[in-house]
Amino acid sequence: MIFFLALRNLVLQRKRYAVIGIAVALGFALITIISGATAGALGTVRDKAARYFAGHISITGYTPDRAQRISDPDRLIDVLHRTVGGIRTISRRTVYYRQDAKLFFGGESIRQRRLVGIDFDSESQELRGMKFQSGSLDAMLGDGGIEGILVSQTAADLLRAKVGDSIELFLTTDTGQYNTATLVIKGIFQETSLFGFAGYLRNQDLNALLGRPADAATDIAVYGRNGVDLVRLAQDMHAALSAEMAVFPVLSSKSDRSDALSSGLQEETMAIMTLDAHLAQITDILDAFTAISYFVLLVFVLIVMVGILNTYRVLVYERTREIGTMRALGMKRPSVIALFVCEAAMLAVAASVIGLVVGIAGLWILGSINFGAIAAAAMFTNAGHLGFFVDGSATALNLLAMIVAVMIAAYGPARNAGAIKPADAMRTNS
Amino acid sequence: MKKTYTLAMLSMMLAAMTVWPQGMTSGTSLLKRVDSLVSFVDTDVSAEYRIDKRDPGGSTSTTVAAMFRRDRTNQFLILILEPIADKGKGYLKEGDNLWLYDPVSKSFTFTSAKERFQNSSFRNSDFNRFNFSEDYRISSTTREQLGKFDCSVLDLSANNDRVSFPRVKLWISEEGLVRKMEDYSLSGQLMRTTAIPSYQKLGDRWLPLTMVIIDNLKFRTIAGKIEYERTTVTVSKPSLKRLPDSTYTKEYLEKVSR
Repeated sequence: MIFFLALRNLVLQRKRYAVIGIAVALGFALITIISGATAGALGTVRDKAARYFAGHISITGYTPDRAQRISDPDRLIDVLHRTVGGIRTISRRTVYYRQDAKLFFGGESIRQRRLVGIDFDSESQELRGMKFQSGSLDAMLGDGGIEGILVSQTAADLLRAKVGDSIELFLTTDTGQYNTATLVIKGIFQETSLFGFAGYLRNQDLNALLGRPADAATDIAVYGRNGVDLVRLAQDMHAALSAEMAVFPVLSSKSDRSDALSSGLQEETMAIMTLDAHLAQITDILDAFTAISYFVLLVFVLIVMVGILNTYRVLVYERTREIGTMRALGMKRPSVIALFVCEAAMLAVAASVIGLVVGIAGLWILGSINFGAIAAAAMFTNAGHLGFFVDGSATALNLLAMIVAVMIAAYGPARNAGAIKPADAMRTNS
Repeated sequence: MKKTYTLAMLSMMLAAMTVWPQGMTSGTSLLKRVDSLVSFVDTDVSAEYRIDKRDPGGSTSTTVAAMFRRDRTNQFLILILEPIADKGKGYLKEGDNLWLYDPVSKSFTFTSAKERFQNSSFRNSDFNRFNFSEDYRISSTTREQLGKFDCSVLDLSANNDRVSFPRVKLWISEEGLVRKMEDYSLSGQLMRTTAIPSYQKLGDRWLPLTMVIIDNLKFRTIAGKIEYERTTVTVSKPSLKRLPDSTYTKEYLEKVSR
């Protein structure tokens, strides 16, 4: 009864509630945009990082002389295949970490932060998310990828190179000797952030340049199935591998890895790191940004609540005779309070839904803007565009929070409305 | 007939066995001579190096540096004098360790002798003396006229994996001075060409007067012509004055950088 009465009142009083509705809708739209954009940015970073850091979970081999090497990658992969569930893809990689690799073309050169030798045929499905300005991932599959390289847009722009051009790659072997190779650009991927100072070539080609066997590896890239708990998967991998070889405890950050290595190694030891561990510093930045955003939103919601409080006071005053009539007809005080609070809750729901639609539209518009000119945005965008993700559970939580906030704001005036005596109410002129 | 043929073959083999090690021996001693003519193991050597880098397409940059070298202990100290922005920066080599000093942060950073000096084709290790006889073996020897120089051309392969260039080709004039050098990568690609057209005599040894280094990896085609990054090194104010041991220390570098 209260519900239908509240709904009726809401519809009849819609002009009075319009301002509150707009404020709530705006607030919810902002919440939606901020949480959607943050989730999208994080998702983009995670996808890029998975390609850059060797999958959702990376296994890197370290030797006592501090070189990076996995002496028997086949055995390691076999152990994982046999004993660990939840894995979608396992692939060997050779990562050149020395930061002295350079690409030369047209009189220009650019240093590469890392070179990544990939088994493209094994990892092709995982790399499909790579956005290309020109060329494609398919050009690196099979024999087509022999002596080919994928370079970033940053590198291609600086070198003024395009797909099909032959560029010179310079690096040093494990003993420090200079080596070079002529590689053909097979694809230019759209990346201008720190993930863009990397080149991707066939594992076998990179190993040959470094003087290593064709199937050598420094890292194993592991991709988990959709929805799998990566922390749990890393623990399972650790348990499986530690039965067969030396493994550090699952590392939660790069500083953990440094600490583990600083104590010296007696034998080749594997280091297992999840994507979150690799991204610890970046997710800290995003978490800080999210915290600040939510703080700003909290302030906004508080302001809206104050507005609702004041508006409701006016509403209650303007509906004094109506309240008096309802009380005179037998409506109890708690019912009056419940009526007003219910109206507020319904208003919050309706306005929040509108706000959600506006927010999603806002995210879509935001996604169509090219932020490529902003260097700091490069890491969080794909080809300059911001992705977004509206999480159902987060949205439900935000909706609940908004409803509760509005109800709290409306409660004070609603209580005052309940306290109105029918006789006094009938005596007013409004 | 068969006997004659066998005797002829044996004679040829004997001749080859006699000539080949002699050729190699003379090449090896030539390498040792090359190294000794530019080494100053009994004293210190100092000079001012002017390094002009020209990118393909025209932009240039110049660095002037003072170099102090002690070959006996494999040490050198380099102090950058120009440009103003880099004045006071320095390098200190002690054995296999090379330190870069930054006067702004007053800190030393461990760097590599293999790094380019001030982003030019002249590498930090190029301030060192030659050491071909220890690090390389001769793969082949020929003769070639290089301008006015009648040269022995030695094709060298590294005999250890510590050297940066696995293969080097030297053009050595009759005086035993390297006039041209080609440095190759492990894959056999020509990376760098160095011409040393003139030397200056210091006592009974020599120091390059000018060097022109072409970076064969950095080039551009301009108006149909290939232009390489070119670094010209001019060495002036040479001196064999013995320097105090304290010259080759971090403290000295900090002091002179102020």
